[in-house]
Amino acid sequence: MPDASIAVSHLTRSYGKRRGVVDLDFTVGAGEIFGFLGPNGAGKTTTIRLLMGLLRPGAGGARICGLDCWRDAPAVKARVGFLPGEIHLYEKMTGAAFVDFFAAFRGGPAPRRDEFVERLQLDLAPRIRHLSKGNRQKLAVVQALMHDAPVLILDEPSSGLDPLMQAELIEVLREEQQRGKTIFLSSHTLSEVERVAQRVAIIREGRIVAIEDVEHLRATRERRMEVLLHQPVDPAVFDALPGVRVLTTHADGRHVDLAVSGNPRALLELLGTLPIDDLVYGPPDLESVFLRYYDRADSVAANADRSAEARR
Amino acid sequence: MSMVMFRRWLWSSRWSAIGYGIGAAAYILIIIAFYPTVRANSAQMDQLLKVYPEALKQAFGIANIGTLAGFLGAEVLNIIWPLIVGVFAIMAGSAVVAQEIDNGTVDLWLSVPERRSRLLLGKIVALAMVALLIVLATLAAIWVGAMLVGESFTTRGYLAAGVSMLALILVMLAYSALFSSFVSDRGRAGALAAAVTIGGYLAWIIAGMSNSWSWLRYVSIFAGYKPQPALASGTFQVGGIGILLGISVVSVVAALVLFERRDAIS
Repeated sequence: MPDASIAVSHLTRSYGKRRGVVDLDFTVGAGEIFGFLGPNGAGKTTTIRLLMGLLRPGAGGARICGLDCWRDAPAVKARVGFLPGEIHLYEKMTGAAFVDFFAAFRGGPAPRRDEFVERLQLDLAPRIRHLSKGNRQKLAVVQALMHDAPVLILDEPSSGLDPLMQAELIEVLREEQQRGKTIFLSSHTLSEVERVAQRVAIIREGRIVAIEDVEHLRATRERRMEVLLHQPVDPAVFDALPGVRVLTTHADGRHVDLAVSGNPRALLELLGTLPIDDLVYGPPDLESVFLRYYDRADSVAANADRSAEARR
Repeated sequence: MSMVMFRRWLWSSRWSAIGYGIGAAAYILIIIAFYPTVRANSAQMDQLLKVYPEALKQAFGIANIGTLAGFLGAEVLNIIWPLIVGVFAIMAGSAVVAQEIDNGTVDLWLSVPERRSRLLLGKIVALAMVALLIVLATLAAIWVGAMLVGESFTTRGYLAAGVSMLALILVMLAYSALFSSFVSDRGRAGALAAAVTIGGYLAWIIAGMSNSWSWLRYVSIFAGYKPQPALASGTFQVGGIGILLGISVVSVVAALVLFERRDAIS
């Protein structure tokens, strides 16, 4: 089994005065699905462009399968299936001409082209300019997967896909992992990354603020719950539960907003005893995760500033 | 060179090849249709030319207008033909890299397991093939036209004229591709290439008008382009063509080196 790992070390790149990414440091083990999570503009696509040898690092470097992403770019790309973040395709080509063009660079028909075309229910006959956004995304996904490359670098793969197709894609990624693939998955959707990745790096303003196991992230990140009650209830009953915070109460205590982290079993048992009219349980909230790390990063930065000041 | 890229680019340039080839050929056939009238009145035409300003004749290479080579030179090959192929070369050459960046396809284009320079060379060689097709269409039209009006040129004449024409298109393609390799939008690459071309064309004309400005011809690519004497007498302008091909090679190598090293982002 070749070393299908990704190793990024002190990777730094700016665009003139504009910030790019600063001192990125992480490794992705062979056979791992690694989520790369951050809001738009945080540096996810810059990182991926550095991995793909489209940008030259300002400092530090990245290696895939032991090869340098800038100096050995062609050899790296031979081992990578790539999905760019913004899908711009060759509009005049048909889908079939498009996938065959990319397969030709790797020596002929792609080994798993038909399998993924069928799986994602894609029609290769029309010209790309006649395809919907979702179908363009599917075509680009098929192009990334069909070469059976040991490493997949996917920038926002589910963007533009309908929910059914998103679920199918998640399933495909799980299966590819079982076949031994290493998958680098960038996203700004926490729930998507949570469903497949084993570890997640969180990037903010060009710097990695945390790398966590998804299990740990799931245990500590918060979800919002709105509880509508028939009669007012003392909010203290919620506050008493582990992992539950009362955010706000309205309507004389009949409408309660909660932040819930960890296992919700105790909360559900309590709710079973209350006069509930309705309930909304939100998806994992990326914002809350970011806020937590951002607060931490800010306080780290503030501490650094303070100690620098103290030294002066 | 990437053969996959070469084949792809040749195929996607097919309409350019057909359009410019047919356009150039049709223009030549139409102009040759007027030649019998000129030939029948060549004495009067010569008289007319005598009162033409010498500088103008020099500048536009108007000479021996009573012969088919002179007529073609004055009416097509020295003026219109370079403009037609110039438009092709600047449009196609300035697209090779900058258009991928402009269209946002550069990430995908450069995700294939191939060196950037080999991808770019595949495109440039494909465009050189299109240039060759345009030259062949031009020569074929001259051959057919000459036959229709009962004239002929030697094979060596066709060969020498063809080499001169091809060298002109190649050099324009090459520096357009060079500009395309380091800017990020096709419009700017095209504007740079057009500025060099038009500037060179003006320098060539001014150099022909006055002896004190004749040094200007050395800054113009058109100085190496002399299809009329080539067609008439089969002379290969070895020096001029050598300079054009030299500039072409240097431009292409510079384009490949710059493209290997640059950031490729839209």
